[in-house]
Parts: sequence; structure tokens; C-alpha cells
Amino acid sequence: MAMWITQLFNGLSVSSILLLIALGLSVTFGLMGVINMAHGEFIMIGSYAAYLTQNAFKELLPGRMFDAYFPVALAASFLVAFAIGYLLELLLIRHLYGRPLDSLLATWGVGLVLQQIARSIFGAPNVAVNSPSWLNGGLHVMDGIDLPYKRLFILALVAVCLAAMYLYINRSHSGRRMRAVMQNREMAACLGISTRRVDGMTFAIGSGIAGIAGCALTLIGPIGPNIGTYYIVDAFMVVVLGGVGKLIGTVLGALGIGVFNTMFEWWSTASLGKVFVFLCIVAFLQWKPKGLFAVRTRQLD
Amino acid sequence: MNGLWSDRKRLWLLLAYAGASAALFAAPLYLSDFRLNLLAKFLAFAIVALGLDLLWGYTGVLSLGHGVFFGLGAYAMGMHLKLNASGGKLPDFMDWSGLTRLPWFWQPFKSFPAAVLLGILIPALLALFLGFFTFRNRIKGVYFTILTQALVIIVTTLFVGQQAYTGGTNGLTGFTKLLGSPLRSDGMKSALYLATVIALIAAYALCRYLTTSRMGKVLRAIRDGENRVRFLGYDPATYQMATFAVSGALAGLAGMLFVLHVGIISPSMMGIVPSIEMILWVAIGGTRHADRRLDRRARPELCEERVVGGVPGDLDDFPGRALHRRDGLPARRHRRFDPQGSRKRS
Repeated sequence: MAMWITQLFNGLSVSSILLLIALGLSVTFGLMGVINMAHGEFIMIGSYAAYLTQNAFKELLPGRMFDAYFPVALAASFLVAFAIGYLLELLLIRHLYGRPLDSLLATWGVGLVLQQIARSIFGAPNVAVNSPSWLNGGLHVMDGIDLPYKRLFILALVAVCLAAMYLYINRSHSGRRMRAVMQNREMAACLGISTRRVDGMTFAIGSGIAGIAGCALTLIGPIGPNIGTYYIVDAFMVVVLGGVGKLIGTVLGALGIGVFNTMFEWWSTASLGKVFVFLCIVAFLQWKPKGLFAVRTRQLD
Repeated sequence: MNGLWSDRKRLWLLLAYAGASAALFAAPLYLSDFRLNLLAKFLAFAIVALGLDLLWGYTGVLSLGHGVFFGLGAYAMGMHLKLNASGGKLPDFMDWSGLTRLPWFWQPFKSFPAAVLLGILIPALLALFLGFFTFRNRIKGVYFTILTQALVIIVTTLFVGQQAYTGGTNGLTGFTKLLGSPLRSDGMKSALYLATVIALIAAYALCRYLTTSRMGKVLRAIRDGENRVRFLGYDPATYQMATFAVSGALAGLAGMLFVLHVGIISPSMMGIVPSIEMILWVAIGGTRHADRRLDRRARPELCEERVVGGVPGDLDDFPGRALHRRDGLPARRHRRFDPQGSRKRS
């Protein structure tokens, strides 16, 4: 019993990280049809932003202030990733719309460049970020079950991000413009929405959320230039499974992949578990080729 | 006049092909051993690129999973060489991992013809399997691409994880002989090189045949307007599956040759990065082969066609739509009707 609950919690924890990463991906993919292979590198950017914030607090402020660094790091990660995302959209992605496969290759190249830049600045070995002391320890539920505060914090963080994203998309003016462009780009443009600005904004927000994911990952382990590549393919699978354009699809996709991955790995081995998950996804797509939730359009080709 | 010109052009083309083939066949005479080996490796890669071009350039399906097919071919040949080198005993890595006898699925690889056959068939069947479950359901474009990429991750993790059966991270190496004669002898190297040249020419001829036949026409039609082809009564899924399988088989063949030249195969040579590099060869080297040049020329058209086809259904009454939809005019001509240019997005 305790084993089951622990596994389920692990699954949820994996899902929450996947969700945070896939959130940005599904928005950019759904809105612009761009596969952003550099998304993993925005995670890395967020992690290193957190690392720099930590160092700044260590150097400049007295020791007792150190624990306060984490909220600042979260904000810094978001802003840095947001800014770089906006720049990337402006300089590169904008010129590749309508060519999804070319944009895939180009962003992959950008990812390589960013990785190498990180390697040149911070060095190839992983660096450690000390978690704030208030996140050490865990919640003792019953015998054999301890839920680490860090994982709980990440779950809460994801919930907050999700809620913010929901409010932004469904309740704000710029979110409404975004939905309009996603549903019918030409018509939205005809009605006077600057689709360029919406594209740039959306891409930047997606990148910013990836930055937050990177900051959250610093709680789990050391970070390195390749940190993004571990998660990116799984995050893409979440998008494929959940369908694009709806938040709920991404949430369920992440839950499904995270929980099943953990369970299968528990029952078999880590490598076989992944094979099972892949087979399940392919089987699932037989039933729903467009993923769990797809925005219905009347487009044919 | 026109016919004469095309005859002359064809003659030049034939001469160029003959010259290139002659230069390749004569390479052992004027290249050092080291360079010959390098060239042989590149030629093996060229076979993968041909297969990818067939798939990407002609059906518009981008696979990021060709590293897997390449790797499966390479492992098939690698295991044959390994079993050969161990001389009837268990290969060393299986011994370390505690296996006492050869697993059943490696048994057929003791014989050379079986290994060659399986090295081509296994990738083709895997491609057919994946294609069957995707193309038939009209999972295409980037969705398919992401699935192939996931396939790469899975197969590499599997190969790394199952060390007792695959040699793990180290892969397979320490080969000695092929068909009774040592791999490192000069004669063997030249023979392997020539085999690669022949394989490349055969692969080229196959691709050429496929693309100039009626099948090639259907493939290009699928690339430019899949639904229209479907309405004409063709089943695009069958064609895509067949092309994907051929492409996978070519990658397997290339993998086998690669192992013979390089003498090692490990999971890192079939991972995500090599798979994308293979795509880059095709994307960058576009102007070399006649086929690729055609493909290059066609690509912008393809994009235009997609955008034109993507005029949203809600604009049904929009007058421009009738013009856009004029039965299958080549995309380029649309712009004359639509001075704004159908490529403009906002």
C-alpha cells in the first residue's frame, strides 16, 4: 500500500515537471505550428538564471538572507527565458512560419548554439544549486511514506502556473487575441489583430514557462548544459498525446505519461518501461489520431 | 528543338554519371588506405541520405528516426562479426553479463547471408510497423516526426539497458574476420569499398527507378496535396508505408556497410543527434544529386501549396477561395490571381 502511494506520488511529481515543460510547447505548437526544438535550452537558461541568482545572493547579501533567493530566482528565470524567447522569435522563428519541418531543424541548431554558449560560460560539468532550507525535509504521512517538501512545492508551483495560464488565455484581452489567432489566423488578421505581435508574445510566454521549469529542476538535482535534452522528447509526446490548443489536453497528457512511465518502470526495468509507454501512446493514437483534445476546425489540408 | 536539347542534356547527364561511377570504382588506385576508408564511410552515409531524400523530398514525410534503422542494420552485421570473432563461444560481453548460451534471436546471425538479409529486413519491417500504425490513421507532418524521434530515444535506451544482449553502452566491437578472411587486410578493405560503391549505385538506381515510375508521380502528388490524391482514388497510406519501408531498408544497408568499414557500433551512433545529422545531410547537400536538385526546386512550391490549402474553411464564400481551389493549378500560378501572395500570413 505504502509502495503504491509512493509510486503514485512519484508519478505525479514526474507529471508536474513534464506539464510545466509541455505547457509552453503546446501553446507555441498549437498557435504557430512551430516545433521548437530549442525549448529544452530555455529550461537550461532558466536553471542557469537560478544558479546566477543564488551566487549573487551568496556574494552580495548577508547569509541569513540566502533563503529568500528562491522566489527571486523564479522571477529571474521567467524573465530571462522570456526575453531570450522574444528575441529568438523576432530574429529567426518569424521567418520560418508555414515551414514546420524547416523550423524544427533551425531551432535544433539554435539549441546546439545555446548549449555550447552555456558550456563556454559555465563549463561542461554540472553545477549545484543549494535549495533554500525551508524546502528541506518532508511531510510525514504514515509509516513508509514521506513526501519531500521540494516535490510538493513543485506540484504547487505547477498548479499556480497552470491557473495563471488559464486566466491569461481565457480572461485577459491579449489571451483572447491569442485564442482568436489559434482558431483562425486569417480571420483574426482580417479583424485587425496583429498576429505578429501575438506570435511573439506567445512564444516568449512559452519560453518563460520553460524557464520556470528550469528553476524548478534546480531543486531536484544538479544542472548542466544538457539538462533540457532529457525532458524534451517526453514533453513532445505529452503534446502529441494531449492534442494542441487546449490546456486540459496537456494536463491529462502529462498525467498519463508521467504516471504510466513511473508505473511501468516500477513493474519492469527503466528501459522496458519507456518501450511500453511508447507502445501505449501509439495504440492510443489509433483511437484518437489528433490527441485527447483537438480544436475542431474545418481546414482540410 | 526542345527534344533535341533534352536528348543532349540526357547524354551529358549520362556521361557525368559514368564519369562519377568510374572515379568511384577507380578510387582504390589513387587514394591512400586511410582516405579510402573515409570515403567508404561517407558513401555508406550517402545511402542513408538517398533513402531519406526519397522519403522527405518525395513524400514530404520527415523522419527523425533513421538513426534507428541505420543502427539495426549495423547491429545485425556487428553481431555476425562478433559471433565470428568469438569462434563458437559466447561473445565476451554476454559472458560478463552472466549469460550461458546465445539467446535465440541472435542464433540466425551466425550465417552471413541470414545476417545480411535480416539487416535489411528488420529495419524495413520496423518501418512498416510504425508506418502501418501512423499513416493509416493520417498521423502525419510534425506528429509523425515527433513519434519517430521518440522511437529513437526508446530504441537507444533499450540497447543501452539490455547490456547482456546488445553490449550496452560499449556496443559491439573487436571484430576480426569476415567470411574467413581478416577484416584489416588490404584486399578485404578494397573489396568492402567496392561493395559499398556497388550498393550505392544500386540504391541510386532503385531510387531513380521509383521516382521516375508512376509511383514517383503519386508520391509527389501526395506531398503536394494528400487529400486530392485520396479523392482521386489512391490510398496515400500504402505509398507512404512502402516508401518508409524502402527508406528504412536503405538505412539498414548503410548501417551494415558502416560497421564493416568502421569496426564498431554503439548506441551513441544511432541516437538523436546522428539521426538529425542525417536529415541535415539531405537538407544541406541538396544540390549534388539530380534527384535532390529536383527536390530542392520543389520544396518552396510544397510550402506554398500547404499555405494555399490551409485557407480556412470559414472563408467558404470568400471569392479568392474559388480561385485558389481551381482544380490543381500549380501553386506558382496562384499568385497571379492573388497579388497579395498566398504566402503572406498576416
